[in-house]
This record gives sequence, C-alpha cells and structure tokens, in this order.
Amino acid sequence: MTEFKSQDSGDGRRAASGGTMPPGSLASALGSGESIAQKTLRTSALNADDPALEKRVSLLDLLDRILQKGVVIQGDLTLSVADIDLVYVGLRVLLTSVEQAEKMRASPVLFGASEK
Amino acid sequence: MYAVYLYAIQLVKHGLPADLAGIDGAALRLVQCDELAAVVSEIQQAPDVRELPAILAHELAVETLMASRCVLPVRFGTVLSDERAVRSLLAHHELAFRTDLTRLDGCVELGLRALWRSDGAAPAPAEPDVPSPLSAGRRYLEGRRQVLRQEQHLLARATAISEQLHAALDPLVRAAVVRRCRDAQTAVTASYLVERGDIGSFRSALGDLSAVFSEVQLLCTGPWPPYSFVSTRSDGQ
Repeated sequence: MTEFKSQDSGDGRRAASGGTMPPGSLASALGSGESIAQKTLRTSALNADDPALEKRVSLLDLLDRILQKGVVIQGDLTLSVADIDLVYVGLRVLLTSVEQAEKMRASPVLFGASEK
Repeated sequence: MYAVYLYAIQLVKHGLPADLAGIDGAALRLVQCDELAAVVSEIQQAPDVRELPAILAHELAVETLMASRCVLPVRFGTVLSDERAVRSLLAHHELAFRTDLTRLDGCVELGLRALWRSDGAAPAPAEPDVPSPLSAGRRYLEGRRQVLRQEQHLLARATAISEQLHAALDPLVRAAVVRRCRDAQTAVTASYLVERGDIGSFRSALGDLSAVFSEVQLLCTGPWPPYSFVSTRSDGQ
C-alpha cells in the first residue's frame, strides 16, 4: 500500500528513505494493514486493549507536538501559521476516529483552506 | 528558486549522519553560526501540511538525529528564504538555543494520555428533579447548567488523577506539562521530560499506576524529541 519506505538503521531506529505518497495517503495511513503510523510511531500501551486506539493516540501525539510545539519562529519567513493551525484542526478531526477518516476521504474538501 | 526548510537546531560539533534525507528525499545539511547549527534541506515550496509524508519525513529526520545528539526540534513547516536568514536566526537566538541544548541534553519527551474507560466518564450524580413544566427558556438554561455541571464533575476527577500522576511520576522526571481535560474521552494529557536512563523506571511506574486506576487507561507515547520543552517561541519569549 505505502511507498514510503522504512528501514531499520544500525541503532534499531527507523530511518526515512525519501519516499513520496499519493494524495489521500493520510486516510490510507489510518486504514488497516501495514501503515506508516505502525512503522514509524511508537506507543506503549500500558493497559490498552485496542491497537487502533493506540495508533490514533500516537498520531495525535505526534501532530500535537510537531504542529504546535517545538522551536517556533516568526518574522520574515514564508511560514503560514494560520494555515498550519487550520490543517492541524482538520488532521485532529480526521484522527479522532477511523470512521471519521472514511467520511473525510470521501469529502476531501474538509481540508480546503476556506473551511474553518 | 529554492528556500531553506528547518528541522532542528544542534551543536556544530555533532555533525550529521551520512545520507540522512528529509522532506521529498532532499539531503540534509548544516548551516552554522559559531557553535550552533541548523539542520536544513533545500525545498522548492513550503511543504503541504495536508500530506502526512512530509510530516513524517520531518519527524523521522529529527528522531534519527535525536538518537545521537541533543536537538531542539523546530515546528513543522518552518521555511526561511536563504542560508543568511538561517544564520541570522541562529545568531539572534544564540543564548536561548545554547541554554536549551544544555538543559535538554540527555533527555527525551514522553507523552501520556489518561483516557476515560467507557464507564469512567459516567455523568455526575443526578440532582433532585426540578419542578416541571419548564418554559423553553428555562429548559435551555437548565440544559446548559447540566452540561457545565458535568464538565465540572469531569474536571474535578481529572484533577484527582493528575495529582496521583504527579505524586508518582514527579521524582522520575525533569519537567512536566500537564493539562487536565473536561471532555468525555480524555481526562489528562501530559508531556514529561525524562532522562534517557529513566525511561524504564518511568514506564514501570506507569504500569503500577495503571493497576491502580480503574476509571482511566494510560497510554504512553514516545520517546519524542523534546518538543514541549524548548523555550524559543515565536516572539523570542
């Protein structure tokens, strides 16, 4: 399914090897089978009994950090903060449930910049 | 016309692992200013944040670096016009970056979510029935009051859980950012700054807590780069 290759580097970590994925891959990453999320994101569920839940939580935790935290720089940059926040909300909605992801795959307009 | 995409800040002396690729498979390189370096790649246009692969490529590059040195992860989507802008950024934030690199050295971030079990988010105990019939306006206000009451109820229980977490985990972490929630799914979300050597003890403490908590399940993610613990924010705060 995925063209985004993942490989174990010497120290056991996964390393990206420059792949690209077709549009809509976020939804497919959330689908069943071997997904990017499974390959790259780690969750240690202590008493979770739902692997799909673990995967969603792991992706949510990644998005919470990579889009909202970290070194944030503004100024004369070409970074569009508003768009990122907007899409962040979209991604969160998408990740909230796989069922929801299926709906959004059918209506990608939800990601459009004009949506709030 | 190429721009420069930023992944992380590190010390020059750590160099870069060979063949490390970033977004769109572009090679990573260092832009340096004195002892500080920004890990960057060339990019033709700002990455589309709707595409998970770009997000994962960013994350994987930073995590690969994190395995062998302290890095300050940069928020996804940060693009500068050229290398001069990157050097100017490093110079401008030099003190903050150096302080953070020292403070965060040897540490990782672990994420924690305490999720209500299906019966965990039970509604607040019912109040005695209000006299009926109610007018429409009164019914609306009564409905709002119930919602607020439920939120307060959840928040109070989330507070109790966050206090238990704090008591058990505080000795094992360098820093914590804990947020109590008032929704029916999540009780508490937290980020912990943990020394690498303490990850095992942290997880085992969580395991012990899991046995104690009947109303929530604990999900631990990571180790992540220390996203929640860098001090450099947009306006240099």
